[in-house]
Amino acid sequence: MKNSKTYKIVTQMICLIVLVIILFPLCLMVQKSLEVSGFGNYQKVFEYFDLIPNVITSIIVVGGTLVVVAIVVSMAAFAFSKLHFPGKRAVYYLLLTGMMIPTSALIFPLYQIVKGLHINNTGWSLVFPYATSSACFNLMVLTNYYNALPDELIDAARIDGAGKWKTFQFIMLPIAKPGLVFVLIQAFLTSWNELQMAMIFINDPNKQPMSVVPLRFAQTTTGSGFTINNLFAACIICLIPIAIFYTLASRQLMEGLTDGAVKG
Amino acid sequence: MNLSRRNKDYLTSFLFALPLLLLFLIFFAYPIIYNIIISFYDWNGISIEKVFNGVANYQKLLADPVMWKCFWNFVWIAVATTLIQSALGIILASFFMRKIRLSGFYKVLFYLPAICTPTIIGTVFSKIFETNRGYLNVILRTLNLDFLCQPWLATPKTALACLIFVNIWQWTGYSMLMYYTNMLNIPKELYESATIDGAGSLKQFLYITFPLLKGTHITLIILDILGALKFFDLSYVLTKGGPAHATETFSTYIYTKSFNTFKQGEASTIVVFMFLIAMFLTVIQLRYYYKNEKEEMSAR
Repeated sequence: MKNSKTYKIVTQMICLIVLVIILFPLCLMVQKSLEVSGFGNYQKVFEYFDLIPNVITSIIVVGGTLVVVAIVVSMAAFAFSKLHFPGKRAVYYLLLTGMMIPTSALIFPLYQIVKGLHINNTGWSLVFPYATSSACFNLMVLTNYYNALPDELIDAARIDGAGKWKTFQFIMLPIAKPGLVFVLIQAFLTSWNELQMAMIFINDPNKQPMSVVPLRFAQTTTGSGFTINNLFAACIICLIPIAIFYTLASRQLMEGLTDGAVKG
Repeated sequence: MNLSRRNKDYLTSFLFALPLLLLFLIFFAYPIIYNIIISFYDWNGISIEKVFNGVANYQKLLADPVMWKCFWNFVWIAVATTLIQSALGIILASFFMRKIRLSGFYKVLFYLPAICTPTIIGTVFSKIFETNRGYLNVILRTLNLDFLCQPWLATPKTALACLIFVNIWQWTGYSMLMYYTNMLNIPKELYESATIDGAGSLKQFLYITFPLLKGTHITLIILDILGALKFFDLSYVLTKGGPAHATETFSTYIYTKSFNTFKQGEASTIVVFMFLIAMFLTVIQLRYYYKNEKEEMSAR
């Protein structure tokens, strides 16, 4: 169907209004971060804060989470899609309830465990809780992805004498890679941005991951030489890793979201 | 295949699902059970002694006005977010289905807020909504609309509205992409035959697109309600639950009880309330998936 001229004009106007509302806070941040003393604002952030330990924590948290999610969710999705065992449905639905469980319900008991193991104030304390929630959240997506792959592949592999593990490792996993990439992008974003658990498990400000650090910037502005321009510069610095990531991953993310890997 | 070989086959199959099941039991099931047990005790979360006090925590919270404030805030956030976000999402997605100019560009930029760190978004919006030098009030004054200026985050009514606005600002792109994805799955032939029958584009949207997106509507409604139930980051960063508990949510209230006032028994009781709401939603969602799966099976 051809779009009429009125349709074109009206839709473009609506999109422009939305675009302005979406971009206003982001552009404001960039503009204010350069006001008064230009890139000097950014320099001053580094004089006030040594962000390297925070970045390291974030890398441990995100890296660890991605490794655990990749292994655990791809194996589980393969089992639920292509293998059989008694109680399979029940276990599958039990794991799906995991995506509904609020973080607040986990924090206190897990904090006790983490403290008991003396891994509070390290990135490791967050890896397994994050991995579990990402894996449960994405289990259905990946299982659907495996469901779309033909069963004949497995039969052929069995006839050739490959065991389940070999079939999984050399046949299913490589074909399911696009689905897994989509899941890992999602896992990256949620584990990089999570606040609630991170700020409680890691209460030493020098070790908190990058999702918690901006709280410190806001506290510093009151009553010191750290101006609002420095604050915005600091926020931009914290956004840079995720901006780089989005530039690299946005195509895969959009494709993952739009090629039917996700079914509502 | 004899029995023992089949059992061995089942066992190796089960081993593939075992790692995730173990993680689930340790990191999800155990904390829930822990909270349910603690909800029957009077405990500060630190000392070794806990005092069993039956349903006293439940009685206390049901009579607690702040708890009810949390509940109604949850309802408001859920209703407003679900309606506005879904409406915006489906409208924008329908534009992109008609391939308007710059579609790809808009899609990427509209999704941008969804990937940003909530604490940074909160920080920026706290400077926008600030009373004296906040950018929103500055803009209103330069437009000579002084009478509209507000202490946005310091007035109970507007504070909650601001949080809902920021939440919608952040997640509309997600709803938009979900709708777009699922619109792509609707067979083109339906529209072609509708056009031949003389149905205009509005009619096609109302009678083909909208009903066929039922699954997406349900998924998004559940996700939005769940987001409202978990709501923490923006409230914590922008208003700390204030003014006067106007933006208090279950999560911020649990946080205060656990780590500021050390009433872990009560905190766990709120967790149980939240958990019950979440499970109610889960049952609805899983029943829908299950029905869908059966239909797909019988369609094959």
